[in-house]
Amino acid sequence: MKLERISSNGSFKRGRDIQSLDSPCTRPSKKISPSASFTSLKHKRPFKDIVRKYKGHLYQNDCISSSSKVKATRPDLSLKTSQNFLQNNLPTTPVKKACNEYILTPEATPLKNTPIENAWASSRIVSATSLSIVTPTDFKNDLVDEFSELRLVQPSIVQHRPTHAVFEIPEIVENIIRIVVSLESANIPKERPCLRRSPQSYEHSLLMYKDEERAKKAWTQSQLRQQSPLAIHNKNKQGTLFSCMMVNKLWLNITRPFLFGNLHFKSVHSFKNFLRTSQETNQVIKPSHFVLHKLHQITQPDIEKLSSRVECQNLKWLEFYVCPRITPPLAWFDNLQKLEKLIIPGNKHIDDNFLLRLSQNLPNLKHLDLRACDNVSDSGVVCIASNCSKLKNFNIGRHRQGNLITSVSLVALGKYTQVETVGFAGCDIDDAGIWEFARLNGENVKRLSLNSCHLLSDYSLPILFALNSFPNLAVLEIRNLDKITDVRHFVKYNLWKKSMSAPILIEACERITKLIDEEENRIKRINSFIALKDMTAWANADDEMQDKLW
Amino acid sequence: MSTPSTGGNGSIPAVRNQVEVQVGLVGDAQVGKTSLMVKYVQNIYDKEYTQTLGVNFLKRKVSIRSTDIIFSIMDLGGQREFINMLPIATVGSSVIIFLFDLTRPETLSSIKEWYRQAYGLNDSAIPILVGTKYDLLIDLDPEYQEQISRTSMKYAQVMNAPLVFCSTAKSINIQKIFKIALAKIFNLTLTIPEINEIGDPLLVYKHLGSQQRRHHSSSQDRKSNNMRNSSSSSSSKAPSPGVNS
Repeated sequence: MKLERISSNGSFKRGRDIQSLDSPCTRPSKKISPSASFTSLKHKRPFKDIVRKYKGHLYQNDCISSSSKVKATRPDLSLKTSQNFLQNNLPTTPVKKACNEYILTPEATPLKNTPIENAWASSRIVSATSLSIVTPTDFKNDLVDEFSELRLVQPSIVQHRPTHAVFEIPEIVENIIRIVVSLESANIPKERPCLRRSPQSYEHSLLMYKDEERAKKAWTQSQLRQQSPLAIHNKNKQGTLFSCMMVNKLWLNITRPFLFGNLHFKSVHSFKNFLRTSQETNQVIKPSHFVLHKLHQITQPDIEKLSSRVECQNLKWLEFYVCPRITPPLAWFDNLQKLEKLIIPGNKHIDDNFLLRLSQNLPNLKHLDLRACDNVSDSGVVCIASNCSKLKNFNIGRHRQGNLITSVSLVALGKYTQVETVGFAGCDIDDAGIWEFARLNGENVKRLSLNSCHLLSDYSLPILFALNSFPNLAVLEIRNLDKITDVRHFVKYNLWKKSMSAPILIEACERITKLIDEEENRIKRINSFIALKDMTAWANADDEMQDKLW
Repeated sequence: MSTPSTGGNGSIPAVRNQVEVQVGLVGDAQVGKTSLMVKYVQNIYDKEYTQTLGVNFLKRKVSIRSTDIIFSIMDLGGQREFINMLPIATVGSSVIIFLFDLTRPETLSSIKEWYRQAYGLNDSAIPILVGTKYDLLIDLDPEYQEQISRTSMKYAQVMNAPLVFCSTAKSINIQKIFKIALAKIFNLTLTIPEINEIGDPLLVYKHLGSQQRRHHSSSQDRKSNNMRNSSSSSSSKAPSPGVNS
């Protein structure tokens, strides 16, 4: 009762007002609790059976250390999570739907129902830890008992307070967890998505955005990023799933498989913790996602320890984002048939031999990111291209050792795959290579990054654009291509695409952007001049003729 | 560029220029706003009167060599109850055509109120004053013809608006209204002869509706255009509050 007064009505006085106004339906959410539990009362037996059955589930063998931790922190956390769930998840879960079918019709006797209803409302907030089922009469008694000591207190949870029965039904809990998982999936550590590359200078920013305010903003942002590249990643909140594990055993058992399905770590500490606990239990984990984000200190032995505990039959997404000291363990290679996404940028250990072995077992690979893997050369890429025909995204951009990747890689990709996103920034590909690539695979290419490919000249890209060799292109990156001076066809192409309302984004360096701008203005000037001339001719033409034509 | 054929679809076609002009039609009920629009867009004239409820909208695309001109015409019902929809017809329009019935002088005097309201909502649009049903005017008393011609000329001068007499039934000056509209927006040099004789279908535009006051034009695809039109450089009169009285 205390709780209810404070939380749902704001104050004691207001709560009374509502009663005297006899409007029990002001808060439709109140109806949820009585009706839902009435249904649960009817089905008391079967539910208990289900619960019991579920508790004997194979997830029972959980690790000792974590469950003892659960006990220690239980009371506080349980309040927090259960409130959380009421706020966040109740409206979206099927729970509500079920309730609406069994409305108790409190409208018939509003005054009488109100105190009971309030009591029910309070039961929702009560800890989810205790499991017995509530009856309305209990609450009437409680009400009388506690009314006398009503005062402003911290809402403290009494252990005997029963939880709402809904939270004991494994299916419903599973649905709740599912929603939490879908919310959490936004938190998988990943690279900041970039809409536009950051400008190289303020002038460049001005050219890119053509608006002083936005240009300034973009420039200062890019400046900030250079100073503290990690700042943005740390904002993510995490841990709702962990809180769910702390609620009770049922919740723990249901949450655990979800948690193990999606393994992602961005701190060394949590990864080491995970290593330790997985050593203690004999459970084999079959995750579908395995993401390590910037774990510089993790070494190969750590990963090898894990290799026996983790099986990869279900693995779809394997990411070691800037973890320079580790490579996926050899033991996994045979089981990567389902792998679609392999992201291992910034890794010095990955070389052609590695790719050769890996490529034999990756029939479903769609996304391969080898940026800054400086030891990979043409032969590695050719292995991948010839074995992974479903490849859609491929990036091998680099700052060092660009001479290792030449047109051979590009042509192999064009020949064996229908790759859509291609990143060859900083590689030694030449005009002939890109001509051949356009011939083989130009129609599929949507994003093409050729920044700093210093061999490219006016004899490839500009002419290829004039011939519309990349008809589906959406993004073209051509920064720091010193030999490119002819931008007429880029501009014409883009104006044409714009007229079909599908403009392409051209990310160019300051010099090329400037050239493009000048060319665009020149073409627009000519066009408007022609348009004015034609309009004048039309306006002055004889309308009798035009009327007849009509 | 003698190059082998590639996987693409051949070379890039030339892009057509597109010019979109929004025109609003306002004026009293039954002066022929909808008729004018339908006549211009579909070349159909229907004698039967159909009341416009709210706002009608039609588009006409004129394709000339390198350019498509799209006239979006908004036609506002003339009844007083639709006055609250006036923003639809005026805001965003580059040209507002004020129509009155040449056979009903009271429709000309209510142009004052229409102009005041429309100017309040959009002071950058070019006004054009159009007298309709010229085919009925010629059967009337010559004295009346002269009187209405002179009065409408005064209105046109005060509004700084080109003046056109037209007939939808007999297809007189219909095309010219929209040509003048386009010419005034883009400051084009028009060489169509003016018609100044009373009794003839008046067409007076050279010294009216000049660019002077429209620095912040609302035309969407306005071309940056430095061509100067010598004939329209001096306006006869700025819009004066005299219209409002």
